Amino acid sequence: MRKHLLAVAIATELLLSSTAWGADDAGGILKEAKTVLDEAVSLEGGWTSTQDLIKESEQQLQSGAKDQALKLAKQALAEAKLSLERARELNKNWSVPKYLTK
Amino acid sequence: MTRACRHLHLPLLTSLACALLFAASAGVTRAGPQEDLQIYQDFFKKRFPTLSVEDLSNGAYSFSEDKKKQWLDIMEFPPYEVAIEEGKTLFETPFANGKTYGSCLDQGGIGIAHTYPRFDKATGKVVALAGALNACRAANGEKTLSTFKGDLANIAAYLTSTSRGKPITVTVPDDPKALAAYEDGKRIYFTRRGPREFACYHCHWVAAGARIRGNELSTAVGQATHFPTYRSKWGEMGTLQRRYKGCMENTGAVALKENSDGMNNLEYFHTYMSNGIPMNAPGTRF
Repeated sequence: MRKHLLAVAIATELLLSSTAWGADDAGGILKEAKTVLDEAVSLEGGWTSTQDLIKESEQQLQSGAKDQALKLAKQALAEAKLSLERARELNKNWSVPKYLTK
Repeated sequence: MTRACRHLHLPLLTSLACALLFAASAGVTRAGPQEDLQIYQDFFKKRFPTLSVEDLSNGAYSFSEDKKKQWLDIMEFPPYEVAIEEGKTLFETPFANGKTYGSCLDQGGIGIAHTYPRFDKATGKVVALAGALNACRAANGEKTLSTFKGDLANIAAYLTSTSRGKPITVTVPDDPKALAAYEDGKRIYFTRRGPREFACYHCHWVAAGARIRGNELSTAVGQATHFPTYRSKWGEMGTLQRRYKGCMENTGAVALKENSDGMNNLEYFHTYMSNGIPMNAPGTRF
């Protein structure tokens, strides 16, 4: 069991270290959140709440509140990823409701 | 037999079954614009048998006697009158090169608003009225403006006033690109978006006549007839695309960009479903 946990921890660490930003780098996370949000918007599936989180995180970062900025940036990235996933799914599965077809 | 079936290299019997399957699915999902129009307008005729299609052009006020009375009181001195006057002046004022907006539009722009959005064969794209005015500005070396509000919305108010009472006549010509634009508008209309996963149709078909907080929801058919509109909430005129933006943002979705292909296609599809209903624009809404 312990070996499994250790393997998961190492894999997670490797994954994090392979990204351009560290887990505590609000600026880097924000950058990725914006990229993912842009992709969701290009699929007509972006969320305004993600834009708000990014804006708020940037403001916190500018005022020096790094912890709060990081928390918001992580939230923004998670939301952006979710919106992108939902946009892909919803774009694939739209349909005209049955009561408006023959 | 469909090309898709032929490409599968199936035995004869299987190929026939495949072709039948494709034909059947085409019959269900590939209704053309005219069939759509019939289905959409019939839906509301059955759902609200006491309302005429003209009533639908009055939007949500057809569902509340009290609000209709307030609205009719406002209409005694319609707030859009100023916009019509300003729009007329702007429309007739020549550009720096001496030309006017009228030089870019059929019939000098008078009495044609009920035929917009139009499919432009040259570009293969849909053009909404405010977009056509902006294209005219660009073609004459003028700076482009917002197609949501301001000068172009006021000019649109003037132009639609010259079409008031004429039946909406949006056409989807026999051109694959026109049909594709119409179908794209339909896709946008029926696709869920935003964190609440609402599509346009969720509020304006089965829920039409019901309330969201204190506001009655208007019917999808008839909405496009009264834009541009003076909305008290805005304190000025706004185009149909401005309203789309508000609707999309209400669902938590990032709105499509103004005068984008998506917005224009959405307006094309949405306005087409009001074909035959007299234009009731410019309008006034709370």
